[in-house]
Amino acid sequence: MSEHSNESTRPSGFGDRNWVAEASDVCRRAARGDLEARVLNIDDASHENRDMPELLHAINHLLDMTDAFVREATASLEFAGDGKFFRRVLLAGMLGSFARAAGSINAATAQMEQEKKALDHAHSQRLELETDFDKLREVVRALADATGHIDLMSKTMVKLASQTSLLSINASIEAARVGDLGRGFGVVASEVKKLATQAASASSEIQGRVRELTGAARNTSETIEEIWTVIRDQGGAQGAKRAA
Amino acid sequence: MVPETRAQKMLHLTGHERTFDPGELIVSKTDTKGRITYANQVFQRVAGYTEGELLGKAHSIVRHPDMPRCVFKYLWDTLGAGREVFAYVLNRAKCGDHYWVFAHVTPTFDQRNHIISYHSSRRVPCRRALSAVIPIYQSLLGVEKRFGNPQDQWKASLPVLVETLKQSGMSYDEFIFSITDQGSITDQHSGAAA
Repeated sequence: MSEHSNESTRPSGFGDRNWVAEASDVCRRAARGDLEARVLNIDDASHENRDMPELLHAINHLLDMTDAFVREATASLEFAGDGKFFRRVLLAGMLGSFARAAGSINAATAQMEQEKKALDHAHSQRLELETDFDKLREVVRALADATGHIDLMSKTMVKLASQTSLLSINASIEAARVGDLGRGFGVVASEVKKLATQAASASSEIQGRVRELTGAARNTSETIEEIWTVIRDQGGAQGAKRAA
Repeated sequence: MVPETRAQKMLHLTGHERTFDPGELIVSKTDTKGRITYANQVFQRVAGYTEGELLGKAHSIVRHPDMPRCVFKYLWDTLGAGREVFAYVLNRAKCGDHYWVFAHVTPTFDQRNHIISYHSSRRVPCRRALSAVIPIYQSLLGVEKRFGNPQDQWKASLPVLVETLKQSGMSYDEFIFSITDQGSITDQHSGAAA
């Protein structure tokens, strides 16, 4: 490769360039936001004013620093807008107001990162809460089922007690009919009747308590479902905020 | 194997490292084909070329033979996709000296969002980053040395780079930022200026 030769890159007519006009044009382009503008081939030309190259390099330097800052700030903010906070404005080479502005952007990015972390934490806590609460719903539902089952059983017990009572009355009648021989059996029948009465009152007491329990379980279940709806709605809102 | 080795041998290296001020930026712009359209004074001084020697030349004029090709492949692919790219790059000055830079290369877009040129700002790298990057580059170079032509070289080494990043659990950008001290250079500089 002939990359070390320095012919062929000189612009034609470089000797009679109007440096002031070129520099003004570059400045005007830059002021319009065209940060690509630079004065080129500064050292290739003969300058009437010996300070001119210095001025032209200074213009390029000003543009380089502005260009670098704009590129850095843009990149950092674009990344942050995308939820990626590691991309900070590089402070190296930034001086004065450039450095201060870069510092402000980085501080804002750090703040955004912290808020995002807090939001993520709240979200994971809410997910845990949702899981725990779902388990609680299961437990309450099982409880309601169980009380319903006991209610059914206590009804059976009341029925059994009344049938037993009826049976003991029949037994007493039969015992009376056979006279003295049936006396012993009559005593047994009346004892059975007492037991049946006790069983009936115990069963109806159980039934009453179970009704209370069933009612409480139903109320708990309804309240839990209401809270569940709120939790789910909040989850949707939080998810939307995180995505934003 | 033949052309590359010959080309590398032709590059004279002194083993002497150059550096520049932490408050300075090496700036260059290229067209979409990578030809230099602007090189600032710092670039000219550190690389040891005059402006006239740089303008119109391929940016690879400062390429050092100890830079893995896959890094440049990744760099140009990323730029071509319209994204900025950071890289720790070893460059070769005209006299054969070398200098490390932390390069930030960005595409420039026109009004219709087409890439019209590339811009590179290079900073003095922190030593911590270099000590992280140098062993990776050496292993990539080791892979590339087994092949003769540049395309085979990066095709072999790029998966190694991807695997290295995968093991670190970070994206390329995240990795670069994780090894880069942010602000220490400026602190040092503003300290000197105060």
